[in-house]
Amino acid sequence: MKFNLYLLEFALFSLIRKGAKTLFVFLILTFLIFLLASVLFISDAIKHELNVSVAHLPELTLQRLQAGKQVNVPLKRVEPLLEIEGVASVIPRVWGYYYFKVAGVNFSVVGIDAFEQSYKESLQKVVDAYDVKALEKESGMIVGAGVKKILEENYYQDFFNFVTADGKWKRMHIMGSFNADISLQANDMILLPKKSAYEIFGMPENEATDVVVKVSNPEEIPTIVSKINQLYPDMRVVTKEDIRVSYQNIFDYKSGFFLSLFVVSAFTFFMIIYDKLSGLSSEEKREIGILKALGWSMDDILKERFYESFILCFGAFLLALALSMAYVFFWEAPLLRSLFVGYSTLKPSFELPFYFNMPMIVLLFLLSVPVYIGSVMIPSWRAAMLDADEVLR
Amino acid sequence: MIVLKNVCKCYETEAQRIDALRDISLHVKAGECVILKGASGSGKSTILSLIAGLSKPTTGDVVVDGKRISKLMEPFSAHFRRENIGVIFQRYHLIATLSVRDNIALPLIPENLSAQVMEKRVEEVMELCAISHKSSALCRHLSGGEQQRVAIARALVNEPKIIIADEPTANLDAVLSEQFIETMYDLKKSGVTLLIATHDSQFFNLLFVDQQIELKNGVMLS
Ligand SMILES: Nc1ncnc2c1ncn2[C@@H]1O[C@H](COP(=O)(O)OP(=O)(O)OP(=O)(O)O)[C@@H](O)[C@H]1O
Ligand SMILES: [Mg+2]
Repeated sequence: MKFNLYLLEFALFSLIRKGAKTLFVFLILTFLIFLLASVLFISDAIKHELNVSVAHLPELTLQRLQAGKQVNVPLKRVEPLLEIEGVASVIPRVWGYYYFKVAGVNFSVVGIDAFEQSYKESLQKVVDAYDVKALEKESGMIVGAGVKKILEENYYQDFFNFVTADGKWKRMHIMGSFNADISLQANDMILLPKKSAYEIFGMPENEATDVVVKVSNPEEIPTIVSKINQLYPDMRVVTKEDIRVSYQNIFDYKSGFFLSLFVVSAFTFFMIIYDKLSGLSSEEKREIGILKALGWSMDDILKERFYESFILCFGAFLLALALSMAYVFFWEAPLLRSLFVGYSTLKPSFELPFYFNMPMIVLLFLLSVPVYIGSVMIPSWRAAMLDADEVLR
Repeated sequence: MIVLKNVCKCYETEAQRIDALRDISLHVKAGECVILKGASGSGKSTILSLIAGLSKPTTGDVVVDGKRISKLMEPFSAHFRRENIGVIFQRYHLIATLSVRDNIALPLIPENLSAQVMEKRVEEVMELCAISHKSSALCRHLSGGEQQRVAIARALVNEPKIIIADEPTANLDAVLSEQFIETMYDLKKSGVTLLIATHDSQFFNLLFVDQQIELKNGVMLS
């Protein structure tokens, strides 16, 4: 059978004819789908980012505890740790937070070393791009994009004066900045030579903040953990899994809020649908009766209805999708993001990574378009089933 | 052409049972003009909707042009209507927000004709009903007489063998009613079968009327 273009034309035209009503439904649909899509996009992007950053974490992080507090680890423990079977490398880290009073922001300061492998691949990439020796000589540092922005806002274009632990000024020159692919943590990070880090933190140079242990075979982690515990009973071993779980907890807590937002908008949507399902206006019924009497079959009427609702709803879906993508990934989701990203306790902003999740979009589509079309078709079908003798009376 | 055999139609609502038609039998030959008359509620519209296949008799048979309409199901009944029947409704039932041209083209949409054929047919009936000059006006802006001419044009556009008109002059003044009757006469001369339900006395002593059927409470009097 040939496709009936006149029916499609009639459907389009009847949307235009209904003017205000069409516009109203279109806007409501667009707004609701937009809200749903935005929430899903944000939570998905963050979940994705968490997964990526957890994947890059070292298998084991060792902290030394004294009286229940975390204290520095003596560097002389590195050698014995290396001797444990299955341990591939032991990297002492020097890092901490530096509070920048003027902006009220914490920076993560991380010491780097020319001869030492970094504990993270992404960090290694940044370090490789610079000459660490030169950094040491010229007291230089490399800063994350978020840090750079904040420093510039406070008129630190090419250097920054740290206040060291003993109250002296320590001027560090900004030699470069980076946008690491794991923006969640890299954004507030400052990389500088280990020597300078010791100075700023006022730490003795024979100690490290903590120790990262790489393992050649993940299966051996439990045995290695127990060996470390035997060797140094005062050391706490944090595994990647522990970190993943705690991230997940914070995230789940935050996403609870979003879930309720999601539920509310879904609820509103279904209310509208319910309202539509509960019946056609007498005007609409009359029109169906007229068309039937003029020789339209039920098929023709339902097809026309289908085109009408599909055009309306699919149009709203596409517009909402485009809007929410722009909102989340281009404008960085103002309003909603602050609720979501709060967990990072960092003020430096981070960018929501663009992450396109096809199954999620399919889900969104299925939740909106067929549901709406159904809500139009079912009452129309009911009306078209009835005898159309009412128009003749 | 049109045969009703012992037709009964009753509507059952929760409260009561209404016998709208009781044992109606009639016979209309091709090209005849038949007037259905009777008081309000006597069942005139019900007979018309049975003949148009818009509803089914409770018992009995309706045969139009050799087809048993009373047993015809969707989508065949729609198809039958499209091929054979043109309907002029009591209140015209034009779609107010569509233009004259679009209203007239409505019965042709399911046919999926080529644009030229469609245009030609619409032009022809607009010419015939003297409404061409208003072809792109919205129907809600038309006068009563103009609306009626659009309704007639729409009933004629699919070139039906049978025209069914339900109280076509109820909302018209004497002059316009006269005009309508003349149009009907022209149609009859061209061989169309006419069924007109009315209680307008202007129709009762027309020379070209072949049968007058009077109904009372769903029963045929003559
Ligand atoms: N769908 C329906 N449900 C219940 N009763 C109905 C229905 N349709 C028609 N009737 C009843 O059937 C009877 C005949 O109605 P019909 O419309 O044929 O009358 P009519 O002769 O056309 O009257 P009028 O001149 O007022 O148009 C009336 O009593 C009406 O109340
Ligand atoms: Mg009537």
